[in-house]
Amino acid sequence: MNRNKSEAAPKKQRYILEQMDPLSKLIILFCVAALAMQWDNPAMEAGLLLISILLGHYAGGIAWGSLTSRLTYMFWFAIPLFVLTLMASKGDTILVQWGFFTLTKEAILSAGGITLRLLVLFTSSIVYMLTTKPQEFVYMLTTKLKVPYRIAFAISLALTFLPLLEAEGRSAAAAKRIRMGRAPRGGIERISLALNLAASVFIAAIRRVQHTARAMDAKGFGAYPERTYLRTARYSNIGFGIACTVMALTAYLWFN
Amino acid sequence: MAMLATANAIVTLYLSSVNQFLNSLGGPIATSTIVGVYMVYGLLAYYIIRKPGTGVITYGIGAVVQSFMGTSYGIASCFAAAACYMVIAELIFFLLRYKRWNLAVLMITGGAMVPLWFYFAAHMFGYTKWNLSVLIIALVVRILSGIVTCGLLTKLIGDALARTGLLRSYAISRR
Repeated sequence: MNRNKSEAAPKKQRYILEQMDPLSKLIILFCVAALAMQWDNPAMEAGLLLISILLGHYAGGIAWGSLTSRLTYMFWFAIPLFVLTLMASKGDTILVQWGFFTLTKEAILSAGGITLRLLVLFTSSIVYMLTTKPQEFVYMLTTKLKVPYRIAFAISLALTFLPLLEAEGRSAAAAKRIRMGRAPRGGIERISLALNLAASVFIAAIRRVQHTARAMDAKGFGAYPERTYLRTARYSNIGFGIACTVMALTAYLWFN
Repeated sequence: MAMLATANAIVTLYLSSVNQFLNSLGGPIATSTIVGVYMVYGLLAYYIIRKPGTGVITYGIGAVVQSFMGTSYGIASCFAAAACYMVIAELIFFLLRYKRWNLAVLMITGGAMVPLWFYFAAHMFGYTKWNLSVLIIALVVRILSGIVTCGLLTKLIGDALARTGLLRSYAISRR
């Protein structure tokens, strides 16, 4: 029987981050997060952000448009944080004084550092998320971190049902908006709508629990202490080597 | 536990627009008012199942699911927050010997889960730059949010779900 080649062959991973195993990438992610939280200097945070963005595009194959749109979304969180940190921070080098409001150089540096830190944490996480298959992450939990397969399977189950519950949540939200006759106005209406939606989503989740539990019982899930896997995550010396190098570099930068 | 963690991830996604609105209104102090909602799923799972380790598993699953859904604060903060919540929840219910599940216990647990994560969040997101009075106000608002929107909401949601009959096979229905 002839098979369509594109159906038979999996998509070739051209980028190094796609080829690396989830555990090595997770180690690198935590190293980046640790450095981002250790540093206050906006120049160093900007450097980390630039590295994250460049790695995402050139090593992870993430399109510029995708990175830009996500970072643009984050600016709506980052700008209020910048302004509030600017107002809350103290300093000695006064740049502008206007009534009670005093703008100092130290406040600008603090606010810039904190804001860039948030962007680094977000960007590095996005790069990890877009270059890692959730199933490979679950395999890594059981095969490398020795998490019991029942718990790892629960994670897999959660990720499997995520789009279903998300679609149900969207339908429920749309139905509520239609019944309301207009878009929600103000904070109280938004919060009320969110609580209503939360109730619908939780009830849908609980209903699924029962169906899924019955199906798993019928298939004898959990009958044996160990199980085999059709696919496993690939582990290579290159990934391990890169992770060790990044850890060593992180330790050096942390203490210097 | 997995389904509740997934449900939480969905709710968190829709809460992001509320979070954004509150952030632009009053910054991190305003967003502290809904902090409790992010912790409900683990406490709710504990309230329903009532077994040791429920908090660890549920918050752990929740952290992984939120990581893959995308989070504004980074994967590291997801895991750090989950670790803080699970430690406090497990400790409190261990001390109570998994026997007390009334509203007061849930509200105390909801409030108690806040300070440890607030300490780490303050260092991660630069809250330490604020005045001490602003920090204290933010902490108090978060604790109140934990007590009301986590503890109280857990009781309300759990009892409402139990009344529907969906939780017949769980410990919450065997009172």
